[in-house]
Amino acid sequence: MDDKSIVALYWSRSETAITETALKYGTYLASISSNILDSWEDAQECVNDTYKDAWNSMPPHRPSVLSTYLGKITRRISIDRWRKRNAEKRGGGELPLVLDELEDCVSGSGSIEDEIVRQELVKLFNHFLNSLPVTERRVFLCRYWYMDSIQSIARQFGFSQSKVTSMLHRTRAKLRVLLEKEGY
Amino acid sequence: MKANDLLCIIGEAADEHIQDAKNVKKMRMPQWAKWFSVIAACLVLAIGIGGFLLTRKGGISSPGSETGGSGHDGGSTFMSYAGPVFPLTLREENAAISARRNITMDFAPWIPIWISNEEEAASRTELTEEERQDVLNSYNRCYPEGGRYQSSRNILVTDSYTLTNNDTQDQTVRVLYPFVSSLNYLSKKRPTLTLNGEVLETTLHAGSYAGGFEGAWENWDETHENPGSLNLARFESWEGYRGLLSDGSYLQRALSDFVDFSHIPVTVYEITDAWGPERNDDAGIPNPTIRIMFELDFSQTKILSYGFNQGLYDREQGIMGKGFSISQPGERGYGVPCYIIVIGKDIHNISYQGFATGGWDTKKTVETGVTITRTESNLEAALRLAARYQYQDLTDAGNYFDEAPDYGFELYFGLMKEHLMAYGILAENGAERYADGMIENLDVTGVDRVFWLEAEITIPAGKSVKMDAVFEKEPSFDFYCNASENKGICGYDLVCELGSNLTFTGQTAKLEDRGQIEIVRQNFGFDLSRGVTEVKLTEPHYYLEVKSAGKD
Repeated sequence: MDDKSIVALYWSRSETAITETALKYGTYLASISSNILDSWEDAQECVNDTYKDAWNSMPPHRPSVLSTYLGKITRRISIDRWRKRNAEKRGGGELPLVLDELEDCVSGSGSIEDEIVRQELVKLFNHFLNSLPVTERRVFLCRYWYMDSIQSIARQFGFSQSKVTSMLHRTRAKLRVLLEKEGY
Repeated sequence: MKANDLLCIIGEAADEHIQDAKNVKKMRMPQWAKWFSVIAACLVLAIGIGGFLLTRKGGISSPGSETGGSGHDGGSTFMSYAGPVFPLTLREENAAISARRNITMDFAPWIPIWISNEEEAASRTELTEEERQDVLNSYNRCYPEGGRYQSSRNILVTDSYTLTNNDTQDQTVRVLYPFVSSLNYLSKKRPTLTLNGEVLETTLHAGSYAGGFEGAWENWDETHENPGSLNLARFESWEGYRGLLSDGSYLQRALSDFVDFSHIPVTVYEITDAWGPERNDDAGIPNPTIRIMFELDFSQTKILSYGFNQGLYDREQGIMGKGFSISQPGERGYGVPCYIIVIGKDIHNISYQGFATGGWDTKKTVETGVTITRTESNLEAALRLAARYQYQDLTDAGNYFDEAPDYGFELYFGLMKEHLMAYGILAENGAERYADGMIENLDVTGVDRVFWLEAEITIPAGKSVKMDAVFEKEPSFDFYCNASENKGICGYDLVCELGSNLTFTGQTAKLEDRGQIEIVRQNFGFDLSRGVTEVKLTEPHYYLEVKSAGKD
């Protein structure tokens, strides 16, 4: 079923929306979550929560790209769950490694709490993504959006793991320079 | 700014970049593809579409019909129903064999288990020693207590049979053990069969789609009817499976050969070498697309297609259009041909044109090119070719868990043909869901079906053997958006004799609760407070609905 029809099911409050979403995107969403949580069962629960959020947010939302709309929800919920688990010393998955790598890019002082500042940063980050060569951008997002393992990225792109590692290192360095320049 | 903040900012990456990042596919042209045109040219085509035998047509009901029974006698109706545990059966009925069944439902997977950082790092065998040490250091920073806990909502099922040979001669029989799964989850749900403790070699058989179709809920508020066949209607209770398995015909189809389409002549249009301008938002070319237009007589021609993501169907004018976005090097789909498979009278006046976007209302054209090659072939060969690409796609990019499909191409292809015959454009009364003829839209891997594992065993005269099926069974549950009484409740059920030709001398069920659960609803008769954890089974169906102990 195409995305437009699935969104229409949400708007008509048909529970079939959930089963169609699960059929089309269940595996995709579970992969995002399990990369973050390293647990099939926890991932399933996060995907389940994603359906709940999707159900509650459509209407009023009518996403143009359903896969990323759902993916963003799953990613957010999974990271939240990871943080909760981490507070209970029960984290897991690629996230600790990803956070460790992202430390390269940030000053480490102060948190972004102002919504306007956050929005500006989002804009800046998307400009940054646009400026990257296509392959570098894809590798960066596979690692830091999807949280794929280095090994998995190497397999997807047909690169060696060391090539992926050095490409990511280069991109993080570029991002750090940009963030410093812009005062973050 | 902290790394956590940056992680959230990255989460707001633009949709097109997020999508694009997963559009990567290793570029490779399978060897078999090179031979297709040679093979296709050699095929002799003679028989019309109506002239073939249906070895395995598949399907359980006409699209649009209701699935299963009208009610549900016992237990909840869950939004996500996992299907019951079924009993063992024999491929050939054998009056000399009797069976005693003891099923254990063990909640051991619910117990949180400790995963140490050391174990976690050691399991990363793909890393060098230095990298592994880095990973370990990282985990140690995150979990300074040295590890973390993990648990599941699956249960461990041990379905044990004592099979007795009451005859004076040894009996060699083929046993069939059924279970519910989709192709996607086969590796996680497939049971292990053992005989007297030794693992049995098994052959897998797959049933057709276990479910039906329903409409898109248009006018539901006024009519309270949902006609149509645009949506899948999955089973919501065991009664759906009762309808499926009670007369034995579903199993017989699963054991028979798949239909062969070799004698259906087709004309194949292969579209290759697509080129066009690069995507350029600033130049107003966000999605360079090629549309193939052609004329046909809808009453005499059926069209299957592969590789297209847009369609135009004008029955009055006798015009059909198929469009696809031009892939760039490194993107998913790059280098993969598109196919138009014509069944019946050939199409004519084929033309193509490039457009700036994929919308059919787009007028802005762009310079593009393709090579269109026409060959005469048969449906088996043509469909096999497209299915190969689709299977490759599942292997390369569609399987998000980095596991290659373990069911093999031939099973996938057979089930695709069966689905096409039962519900697609080759069906007498096909589902609206597949009316566009797009091969990749056929629900082959995602839908539930009943599978059987077949194994041969010998039972000595007058003796008994012990056969076990061991597997993890996932729960049935409600999606949270349905604010039902079933929030947080997991359901598990089993059937005692459905679909089995064995003569049972007795059945029992044992509950290993491990202190993890509180029983909410059941018809087994377990009583944890009084220590009743083993019961005799005499009903056709049993259900157990539980929640985590100590949770409201």
